[in-house]
Amino acid sequence: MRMEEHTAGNVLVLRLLDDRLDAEASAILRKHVDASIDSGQQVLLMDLSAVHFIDSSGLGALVGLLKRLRKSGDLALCGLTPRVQKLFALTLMDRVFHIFPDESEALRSLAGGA
Amino acid sequence: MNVLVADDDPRQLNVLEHFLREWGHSVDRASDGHQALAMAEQNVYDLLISDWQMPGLSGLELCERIRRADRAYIYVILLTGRREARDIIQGIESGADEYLVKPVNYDELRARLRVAERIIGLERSATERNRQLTEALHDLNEAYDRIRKDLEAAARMQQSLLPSSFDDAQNMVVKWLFIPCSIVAGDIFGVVPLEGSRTAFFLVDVAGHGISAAMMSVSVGRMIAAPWDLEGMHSRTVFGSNHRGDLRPSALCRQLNRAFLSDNSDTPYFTMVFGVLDVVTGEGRLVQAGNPHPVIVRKGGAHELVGEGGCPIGLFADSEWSEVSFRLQPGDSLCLYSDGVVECAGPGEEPYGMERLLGVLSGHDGESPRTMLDALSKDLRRFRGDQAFDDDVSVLMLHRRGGDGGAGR
Repeated sequence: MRMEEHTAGNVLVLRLLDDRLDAEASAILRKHVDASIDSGQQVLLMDLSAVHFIDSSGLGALVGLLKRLRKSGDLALCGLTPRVQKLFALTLMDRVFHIFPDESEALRSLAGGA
Repeated sequence: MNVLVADDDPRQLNVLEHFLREWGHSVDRASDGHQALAMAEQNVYDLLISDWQMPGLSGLELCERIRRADRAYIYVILLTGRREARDIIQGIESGADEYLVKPVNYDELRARLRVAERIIGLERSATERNRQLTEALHDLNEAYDRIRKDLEAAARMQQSLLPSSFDDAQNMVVKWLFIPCSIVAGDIFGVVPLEGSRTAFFLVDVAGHGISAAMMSVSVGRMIAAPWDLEGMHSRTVFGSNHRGDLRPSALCRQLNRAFLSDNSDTPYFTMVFGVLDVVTGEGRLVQAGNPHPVIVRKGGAHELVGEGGCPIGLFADSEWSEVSFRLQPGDSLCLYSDGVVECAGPGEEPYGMERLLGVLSGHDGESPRTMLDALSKDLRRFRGDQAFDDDVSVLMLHRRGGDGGAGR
């Protein structure tokens, strides 16, 4: 999984660049984000606009990160593509994660709320 | 180094042998090309120093013959009086590594020998490493074979846990389709007869693949389907002995969630459809815990999706599940399936999808559940092309007999 990141205030914005978040990709993602959290990052916005498919391992990785982050920060998502949106609706994860249409709306809300 | 020297001039041989021995090499002599070739075939040399012009087999031809033979690399130095560029090129193309013009300057030869030594050293260590790799690969293959046999045994055990045929029941026909993607599967499903005319049914899909998912699926399957009517077995199942009569699917989800939830943020989890059906009245209730929507195929081909989604099991402590009611009329079928069906990727990565699934099911309405599942299996394989499935495919179909008298067969 390739990704790029930048910070906006206290928010780390992580954009996933590959279209599949599966077991292999989510292992890389986990390692990367765990390292960011270890070094003190508490609020993370993940931009999923390039991701067209998330499998069960990928969903597990996102939930694992959410559980880690929401103790003292947050993991928000933005840019969900239709197939990913369907998965989040089916598993009711759309009620668990903070989900925004795009980065700018997410940042407005996170800056105001967090 | 072991050096073979070939020259038809005995004086030249003497001088070469003298210096080579003085520099610490062991030397064999050949007085023409054929003799040199025979010796090179019988012994192992690191280096051949050969005159270009020899009667019988020339240095060039000797070089070519040695290169054609499939043996350890010999570093070849050709000695010649020729100085023309095209001669040098010809020598190199015949497979010589180095080229010395006569009369031989022995300081130069000594320097060339050090190069030869370095290259032979590299070549030998590469060969040795290659041999070690081949050996390691062999060991790996053996280990893999053992593991595969173990896995195949595990897969047979796992398959033995799948439901047996329900054909003899008066009211219901239960059929299934199961294509595990690796040897062992993370999907498991079953039907469990309850008191009276009620039957529980479930389909579980553990996140991830491979052995850990398979072990978890067996453990979940056991918890749901273990024979809880045996004394002393109650504690191992999610059905308390007092609640057998009014088992609530949502309560079962909460119990399973408690059992499989952990503080570990990498908690394994699973999606599930679980329900209870009265096989006499056709009335049932089910929960959908993150699994795709079950489908009811009505007699006549119409279809309905059941459920409104739900949280997978084992993710969050505070999840709740709501039950949905449904009713199977005679001739209707309820179809549960894992996401390996609808997410099955075609040649262009496009998903098989719900539409196509519904199309196949509706298209075979009125035929037996077995025929419907066979058609689905065939269509999935056609869609997938030559590739193996990358997720478990499982489908469980409960068909209420009646309506046309024929579909139950």
